[in-house]
Amino acid sequence: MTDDKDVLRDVWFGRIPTCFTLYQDEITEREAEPYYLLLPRVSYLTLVTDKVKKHFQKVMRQEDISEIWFEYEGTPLKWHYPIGLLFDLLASSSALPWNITVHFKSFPEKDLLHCPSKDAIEAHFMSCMKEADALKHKSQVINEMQKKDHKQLWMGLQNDRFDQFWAINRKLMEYPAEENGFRYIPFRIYQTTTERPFIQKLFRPVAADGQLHTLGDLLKEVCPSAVDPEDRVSLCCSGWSAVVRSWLTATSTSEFK
Amino acid sequence: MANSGLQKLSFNMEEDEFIGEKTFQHYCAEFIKHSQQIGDSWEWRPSKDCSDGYMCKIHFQIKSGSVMSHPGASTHGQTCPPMEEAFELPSDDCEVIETAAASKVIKYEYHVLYSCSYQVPVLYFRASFLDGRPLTLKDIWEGVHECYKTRLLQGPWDTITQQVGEYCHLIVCILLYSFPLFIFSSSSLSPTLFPISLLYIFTYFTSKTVSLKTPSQTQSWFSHPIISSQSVL
Repeated sequence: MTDDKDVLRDVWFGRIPTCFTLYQDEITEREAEPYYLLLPRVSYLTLVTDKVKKHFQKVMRQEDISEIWFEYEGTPLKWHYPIGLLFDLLASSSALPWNITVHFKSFPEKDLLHCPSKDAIEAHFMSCMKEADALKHKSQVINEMQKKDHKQLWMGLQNDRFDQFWAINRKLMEYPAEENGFRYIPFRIYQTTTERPFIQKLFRPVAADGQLHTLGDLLKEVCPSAVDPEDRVSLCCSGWSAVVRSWLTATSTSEFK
Repeated sequence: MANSGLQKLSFNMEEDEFIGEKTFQHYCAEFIKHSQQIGDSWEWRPSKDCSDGYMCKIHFQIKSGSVMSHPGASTHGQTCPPMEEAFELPSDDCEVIETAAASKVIKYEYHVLYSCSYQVPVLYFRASFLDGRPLTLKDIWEGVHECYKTRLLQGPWDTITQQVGEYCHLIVCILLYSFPLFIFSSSSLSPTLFPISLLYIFTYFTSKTVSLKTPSQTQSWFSHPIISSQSVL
């Protein structure tokens, strides 16, 4: 794990330069200037956009403001997707900065979950962490943690504190020395071309014959249409391309998306 | 399934808590067959590639101030204070809107899926008004029966939360294997929010696959109206 620390830090500190513009039909008392922000890939939109909200609300009347939501080229942005995932799915081929439109009315009920408070984001984040550990360790590691450890994971993400987060997360990324990996690899594959939100299946890091599975093995099994015969595939994994022959070792975050 | 099945169930989390996906699908097929026999309207929805799928039920309830009796309504014989009454949506929707003028009609859509992560059935549901507006989580939490509210409010986000289901955009995920613990530990929803046939789902799955030990401290829960002898099919 120590050798991978540079990779872990690169993943954690990945940023997307973003320009937030108020939707033209929102009612304002004066012109709203765009707001620029470097968004952390591993975080969630509604967790890191308090300043964006305050900036635009300064030029609006209270009665014209309801729940904030974001949109890119007509697509409402699901706040419960990590920011990096949203960008890679929708805007990776567009020029930077990423242009996001801000809305304060007409919340798209059919497309987005509400985010009534930071508690909603925390609940979602912890739910993902618990599900990942169910796959890796039958939930044993996360269930043995104290509530304060769970809280530290969340606070580490919320406050962008790599060391605070990984002090706890490292326990979730360990496995017994006699085994070559986790029970199953926690992963989800998102594609824009499918009706299902994501593909998620059980997949072991080690084959029955003891050979380590690679990323290409995983893709061939769960998403064969994404891999061509010469093992060429373009992946977006938190902003860096992965080689399909990479072993599925614990080099990335607890959630692999 | 006889209601006495509930009292025979014991649960051992460490040994028998997982079921495989094929087993889940097999039991769903049996469950759907039984549901059809009793006219309970659960159905199986396959995925596009037909390799998997989920059980689904849509249920309508009128929220009103008084108990109403509807011919053909499925009341499930509940002994809890009937805050809401289940009914079958008539073919003429206008009639529903008229009769619901002074009330609210809420549509509940339930999905029972297999979670490959937890290797148990998982319950999702979505509650919405007839015009499509979803109930908020706050509405759902506030709809919880008074005797469960204290427990719920201690940790609402740990009890009923929101997720997007694998097949569609649904709110709320509850691990089915913990369903009776959820109900019995007073952090549950009002029993009228769940058709009682959902309790049947739990007892159906668990009696087939695990043996459940009743925790000694929950013996008193069996005397609660939610799980009284009349409440299970």
